[in-house]
Amino acid sequence: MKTTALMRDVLDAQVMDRNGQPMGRVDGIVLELGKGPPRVTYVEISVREAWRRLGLRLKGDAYRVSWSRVIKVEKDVHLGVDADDTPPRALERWLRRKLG
Amino acid sequence: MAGRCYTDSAFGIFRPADAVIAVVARLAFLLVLVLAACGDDADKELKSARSWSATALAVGRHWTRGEVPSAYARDTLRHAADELRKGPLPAAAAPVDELVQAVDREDRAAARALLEALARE
Amino acid sequence: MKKLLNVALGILTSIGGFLDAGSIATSAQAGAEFGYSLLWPIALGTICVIFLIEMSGRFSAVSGSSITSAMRKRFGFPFFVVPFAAGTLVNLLVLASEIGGVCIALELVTGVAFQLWAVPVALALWGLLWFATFDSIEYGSAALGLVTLAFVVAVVLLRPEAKELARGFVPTLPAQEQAHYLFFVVSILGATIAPYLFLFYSSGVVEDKWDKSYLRANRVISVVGMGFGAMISMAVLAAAALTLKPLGILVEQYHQAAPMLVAPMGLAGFYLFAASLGIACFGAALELSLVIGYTFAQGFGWSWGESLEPRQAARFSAVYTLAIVLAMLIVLSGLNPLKLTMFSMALTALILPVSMVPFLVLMNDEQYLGEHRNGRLSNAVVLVTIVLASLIALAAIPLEIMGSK
Repeated sequence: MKTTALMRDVLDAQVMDRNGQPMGRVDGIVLELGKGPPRVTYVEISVREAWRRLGLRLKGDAYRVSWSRVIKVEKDVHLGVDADDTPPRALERWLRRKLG
Repeated sequence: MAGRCYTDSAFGIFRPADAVIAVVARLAFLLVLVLAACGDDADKELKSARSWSATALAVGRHWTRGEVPSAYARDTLRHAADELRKGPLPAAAAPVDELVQAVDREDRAAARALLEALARE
Repeated sequence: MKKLLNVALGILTSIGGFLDAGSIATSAQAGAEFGYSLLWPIALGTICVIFLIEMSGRFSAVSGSSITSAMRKRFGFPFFVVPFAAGTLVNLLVLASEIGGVCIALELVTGVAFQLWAVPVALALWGLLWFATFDSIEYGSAALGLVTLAFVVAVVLLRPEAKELARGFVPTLPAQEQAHYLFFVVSILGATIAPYLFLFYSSGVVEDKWDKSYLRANRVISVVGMGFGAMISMAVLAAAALTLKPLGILVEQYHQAAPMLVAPMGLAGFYLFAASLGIACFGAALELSLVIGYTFAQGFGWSWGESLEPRQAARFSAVYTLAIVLAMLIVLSGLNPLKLTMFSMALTALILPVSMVPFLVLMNDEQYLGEHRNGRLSNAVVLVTIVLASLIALAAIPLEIMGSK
């Protein structure tokens, strides 16, 4: 069975939505630390989160997608989400509107 | 939370701090070298002046033979005159100025005479 | 059959696209001041770049990823930021120097000051990227770029002494002005080993969807394309050595380099010089604008692709637009384009290790390349050249600054 390593295969990987559209990169991974072993709960797709990894203290929430929405992890992380309504594509959508 | 991940690479811990230190160390080394080095520039200015003189000569000659357009000749000769004026041989600018005027008048004969005089110097 | 066409086009693109402001400026100056003795850095840089182009093609064909994308994924954002920022800054400066080169070419031909051409040239650049298709741009600039063969013709007409030329390939240090000489070594290496070349190549490979079956074609293109391209660069140096050096003409402005084609070819030579400068720089500017766009889009996971409509990759298009505007502003400032070029070449050489060493690590990563990892030769050639360039740059750049003020 092929193993998926979080750092190697998920973090900073390209994210594709269910239509094959690029949706940004995995800028952060959220684990839930409880009584049992840590569980991956969300992937974060937000450039702000990436900058926070450098130590910059930025405010604002990162866009999170539940780990259960991950379809597969190959070269890219494929999510069963439609990118069109999500924050990672907000700037893209805004610019497209401006371009007419 | 797995947000602050620094151990992203296979060959050890690659922190951005390391990269920044590497860059800063280089710049510091640069600074030391700059302070320690000595330049040799009086010689350089003379070479530059002679180069502009030679440029004026070459471009002037090409122009009299119709090998370069007047706009370029005028442009370059003016540059040459300006640079000569600023340098250690300001006297050399005067004949180049006259050359520019000859080009303006499209007076190839006068230009040729000026060039011969310049070449003799 | 289709592969043969691809190879032929790839070679032509490489030859036509080899020359840019950096190689013209450094080769012309080097030839004018030091004769043939700086041919060896061009050769060394070319060998290195042949390996690098082959590697970047191999990497993208086998892994299906662009170099930038893989760099982010493999090393993580905190590390990636450093080569990303450094590379973008340098690319912007080089873009400005290319636009400057086009503007100077126009000034040569029309007499209108180069700053006045900055806006129209930037507009033409942007317009082409925005409205034209990738293929027409690539093949158009490749075909037009062949005008730079004029330098080779010039050298043939000037009849150099073969023995003296050959001596230029042996690395030597001159008796005087050693710091200045080393500065040229560094600048030539920076001009020849331009990172934007293989970032562009890698993105092209991904966009054209090359796979492992293209590996041999890739090797042919790198060797033949870059090899012949380098000859044009060497021809610029040789032409300068044969026409400018005997007269004592230093190239402190691009205008002083034009006589190198006028002497052997008369008025036609003058226009060929201007055309070569303008076309070579314009082609490079197109590539650089795209590369800056690619770096952002691939690094942050946006849609990208030159063959896409601007609407389909809005952020990517916005980034290259912004890059062109910023570069245009630098040219408008009136800074001597030749000085800007030399400065950005030296800077390129200085920070080569920052982007190249991670690239070498990638080229040895089994996860991305499997059995197509780098061999010892590839690693050695690139590593040695980069370390050499960087070390010499550390010494030579401050000395040059001290010397020229």
